[in-house]
Amino acid sequence: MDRELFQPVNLNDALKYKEDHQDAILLAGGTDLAVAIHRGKKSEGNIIDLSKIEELKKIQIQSDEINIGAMITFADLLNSKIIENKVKGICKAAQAVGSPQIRNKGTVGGNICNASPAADTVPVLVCLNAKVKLKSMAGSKIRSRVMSIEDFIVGNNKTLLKKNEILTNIMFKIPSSDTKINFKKIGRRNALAIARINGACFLKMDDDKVDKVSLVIGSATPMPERFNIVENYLKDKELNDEVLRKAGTLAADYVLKQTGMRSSSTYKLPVIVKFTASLIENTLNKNKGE
Amino acid sequence: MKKMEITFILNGKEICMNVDPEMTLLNLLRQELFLTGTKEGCGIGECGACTVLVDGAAVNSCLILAAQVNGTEITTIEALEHDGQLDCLQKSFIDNHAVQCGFCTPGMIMSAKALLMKNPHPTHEEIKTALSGNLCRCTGYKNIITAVESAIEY
Repeated sequence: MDRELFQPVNLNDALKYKEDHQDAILLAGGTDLAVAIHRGKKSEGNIIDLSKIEELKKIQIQSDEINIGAMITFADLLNSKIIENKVKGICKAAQAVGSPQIRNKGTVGGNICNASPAADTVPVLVCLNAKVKLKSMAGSKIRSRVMSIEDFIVGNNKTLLKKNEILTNIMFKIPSSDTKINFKKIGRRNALAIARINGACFLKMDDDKVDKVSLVIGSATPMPERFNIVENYLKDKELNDEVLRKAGTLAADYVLKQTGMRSSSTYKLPVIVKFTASLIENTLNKNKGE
Repeated sequence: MKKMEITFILNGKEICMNVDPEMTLLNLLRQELFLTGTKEGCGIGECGACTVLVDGAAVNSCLILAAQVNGTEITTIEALEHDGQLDCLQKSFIDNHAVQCGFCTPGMIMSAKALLMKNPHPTHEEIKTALSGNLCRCTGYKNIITAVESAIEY
């Protein structure tokens, strides 16, 4: 039987089709899938094109949360007044993705579901304790479950998305105006570069001591995770040079513990020491509420 | 894959065609519509040679499946010249020696076009950012950036 591409205009039709064709591949922006097709992968199964589903393309404030539709592109994030006013720190991550052309098509939902360890929006979203909503259809009923991105991504290009599910929304609590969030990336080039190391830091200070901190160093561990060992060390401390250096060392030691010695470790581990220190320091020195 | 009917605006004209939905927009333009101004440099979205505008936004046509073009407005490099008159960007690229082998040029001009449509007076840094998805192996970029800066004044 001929493969087909299904192009629904509403989410219910997409969910119904996914329920009936559980091997169908989901097409979001296409910036990862088109490459896979070009390389001869993903040559089996139907395709569900999500690009015409308007309800997946909204950024909304719902109570104390920001809700980002899965088909929101990185360019949409950069152009969003809600994101600019409430959580500008995400913009640095969105701006770091690929190129203007890729940012105009690549989606936040696709970035999460592709689950590359080098994904640029994932460290920031994990720092924000962002959750994903996963929908499916059973009979005529829509089922929905929510989990943290940290739980959702379980390995290199592996997630807990079930075969009959579509990731529809990304949600996180609006950070208070006395917090700061920052993102940093090292790539082989300033643009069109996969992260060699990236990371995000979320910081709330109590005078000159750390009250709350979230830290994710990406492209360093098999799946995105909060670096709790560094966060616990930083709690209630002043962020002087010695503390920042120690934080960086703890981060690098943790990466080594998680991954073992790898061919990239000779480069990455000493860089992670300084990168982590610099990321935390830059976050401290950012304007509040960004 | 089962063929699919798509309707879209291409360089101002409505087109309706039956396509392999998995074909890339790049191949659709070059092989089916014989618009060979858009070039394939890498085929995986890493060079920008295939840049076209979809609904006014610069995109890599090698990363767009034909099906996704349904209901959109596409602008290719061929749209910039009218009745023998070159677009200001095209004139500026020539005047500022921003073309050597020419392979990156259509993509560069389309990225610049997208920028100037949205921001008619970009800064030097904004131009560099807008062109950051387009690689050139010949010119060293300086003349290209100058060409875009000059085009603002044309």
